[in-house]
Amino acid sequence: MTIEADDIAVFLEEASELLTDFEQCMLLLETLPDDADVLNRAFRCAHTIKGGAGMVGLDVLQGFTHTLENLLDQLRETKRVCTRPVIDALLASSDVIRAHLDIVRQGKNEKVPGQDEALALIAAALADGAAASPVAAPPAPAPSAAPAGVEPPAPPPVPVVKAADPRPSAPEPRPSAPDASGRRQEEGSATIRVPVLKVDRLINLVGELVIAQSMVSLEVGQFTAQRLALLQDAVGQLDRHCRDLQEQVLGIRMIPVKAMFDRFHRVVRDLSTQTGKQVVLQLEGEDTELDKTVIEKVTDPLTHLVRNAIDHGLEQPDERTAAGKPAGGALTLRAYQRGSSIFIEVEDDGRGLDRAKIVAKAIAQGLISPSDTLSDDDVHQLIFRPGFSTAERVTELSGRGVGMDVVRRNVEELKGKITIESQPGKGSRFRIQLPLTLAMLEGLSLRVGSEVFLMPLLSVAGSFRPTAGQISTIGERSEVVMVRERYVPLVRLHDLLGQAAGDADPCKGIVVVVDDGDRTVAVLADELIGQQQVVVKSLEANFGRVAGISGATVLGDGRVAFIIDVAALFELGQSGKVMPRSGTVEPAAVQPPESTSFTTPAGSPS
Amino acid sequence: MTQYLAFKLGAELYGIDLLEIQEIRGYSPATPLPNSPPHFRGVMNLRGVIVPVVDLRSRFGLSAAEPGKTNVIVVVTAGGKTTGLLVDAVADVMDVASDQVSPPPAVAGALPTELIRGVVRTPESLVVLLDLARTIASTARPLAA
Repeated sequence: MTIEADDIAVFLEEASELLTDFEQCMLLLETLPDDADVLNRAFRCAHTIKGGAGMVGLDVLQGFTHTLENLLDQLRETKRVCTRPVIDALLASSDVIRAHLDIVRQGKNEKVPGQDEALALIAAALADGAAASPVAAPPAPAPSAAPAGVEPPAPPPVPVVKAADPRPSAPEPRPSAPDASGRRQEEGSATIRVPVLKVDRLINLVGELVIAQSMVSLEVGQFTAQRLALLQDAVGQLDRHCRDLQEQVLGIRMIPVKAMFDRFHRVVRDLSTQTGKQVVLQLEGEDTELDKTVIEKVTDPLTHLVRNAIDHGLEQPDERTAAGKPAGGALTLRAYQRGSSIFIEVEDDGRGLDRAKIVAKAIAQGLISPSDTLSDDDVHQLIFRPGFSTAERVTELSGRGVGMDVVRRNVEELKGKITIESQPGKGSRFRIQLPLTLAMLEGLSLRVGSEVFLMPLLSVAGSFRPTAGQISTIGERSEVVMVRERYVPLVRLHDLLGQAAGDADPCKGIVVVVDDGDRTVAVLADELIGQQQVVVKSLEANFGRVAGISGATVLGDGRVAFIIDVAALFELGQSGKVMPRSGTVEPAAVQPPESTSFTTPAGSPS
Repeated sequence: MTQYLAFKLGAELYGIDLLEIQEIRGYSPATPLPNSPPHFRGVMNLRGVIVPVVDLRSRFGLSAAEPGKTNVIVVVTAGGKTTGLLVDAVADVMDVASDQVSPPPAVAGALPTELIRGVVRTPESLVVLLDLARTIASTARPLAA
């Protein structure tokens, strides 16, 4: 029997979902330790994974799940209360399965280190529970996060697989991978499950499209000048169906954020055990749909924000009680849609960002000077600087080498942005704004030299035609332009994009202000053509990364236009010569001419 | 017996494995790619896929010539990447037996010898058989960003 790679991919996808469900059950059992239904559900998950593993020939995994299933069965038969050690042990084995799935993804079928230990743990926990009264069970540290091991008597120190973070940050080199393009191998990105309803809608729409198309053919075939209106009508319908179809097709890639959010129950549980803080996790807007690729890529930064919120944001229970707050800290994960953006928020009711501490640290690191006067917002943005950390102690949670700068970079790679709201003593809210999909982009089309380029609209704060009085040079070559009474660096797109210099006189061009909350840069183009929605095409598939360009698209006339890489603009804007916003010169005497109109594009987030 | 497509660059003939060719198109201007090496004509839209176009004259160090109506773009797929090769004209399809192929000459001008699979003598002229995968791998890379 040969096993198709497709079958394995489907199995992996299913098994991941089942495993998430399994973990969910374990966490439920913690609050409802004697709920037979939940235990049954967990049993079914294990059983299905076992069956699936057997079908695609993963005998090692099958064997492991089989033993796990037996133990669960035993638990079910004896109608025992699930004690904390039992649940910890079961969670450890779910980590083993997850690690195993990762290994299978790399094309191997072998034993995962720690799998026998995990089984021994369960057996021990069961035997232990049978002897001692369940009440006496001490709250054991979470095994998945504490590699040192759990203390049950039987097995040797348990090197439980560090699978709490199941997605490797860097992909393993895949020996026989045909696409050596170095593209990141996304977890389970090979398949997607689509509700039948969506598929039916598509089939319907395609039917409509075919009818509309035959109407057009008909009208064209018997065309006379008198029938023009009819033809226009038919084309209009074709138009509408095409747009509908495009929208629906994009919808195929959209999945609810629920699956991703649900994983955080586990993350929060582990962290709360580790830190000794009580956390009440609340999920809102789990039905919000987001592009599958975006969801996969936003999980890491979101995990980081959740870790931060628990580690830095929330206080210890006694500290909270002293401050008059409930002992359990509230952590809310929220998703919602506004226009063509999705917002994901991580909110806690902890101590908030410590302004004084951040400022002190920033001064110590030379990021700002003591004389700078900064708004709260400016201070909050400081934590996104590379290497910035206010953690007083290096704990398991902090000091893992991932800073907020990485979070911001990840979000920017998704063409999104991140903002902070924080009130001392009341809590903080981190808000990630993401485009609905990476397949489409709302952009401003700009003419630079003889070519058209697109600027992602999410980053655009506004545009205007500058007057001579607004532009000055600093040093030899750096130009700055005054925008809303601040001087920001001016980048000529011709330089960035290697186009022949357009009009040397900026006053004949257009300045587009690009802003990511922290940094602002003004770019000079020859002409603003308009705002349009485009389909993003990969440049990397057949070529590679190009400096200053994040992708390409095809314009209405069939020509290719490039999408500007906003991150590259900021680098250019900050490459010495020009000043970051915190050091912006506040103009004393110069006022912007009244005549300058500063237009903000429609749909712009600001 | 392998079939090769022979194409012209100036007066010279080059051959590529017929099986690696996806299609042949008439020349249309490509969108220039910023910050890329000079032998890149830019990218074109091939039914919704963005494909880079390489000017083989420039790549092989031949004299430059502005492409016109007679030029063609040979779209090839090798190593999982699709690339358009801008050439002067398509000449012929030839059957080449492996014993007809001689090893590449030591001197090949600006054309790196590792890109050459071998050379074939035909009654009229010499045909340089290209190692397409290597040609593309060595070419379809932007300059270090």
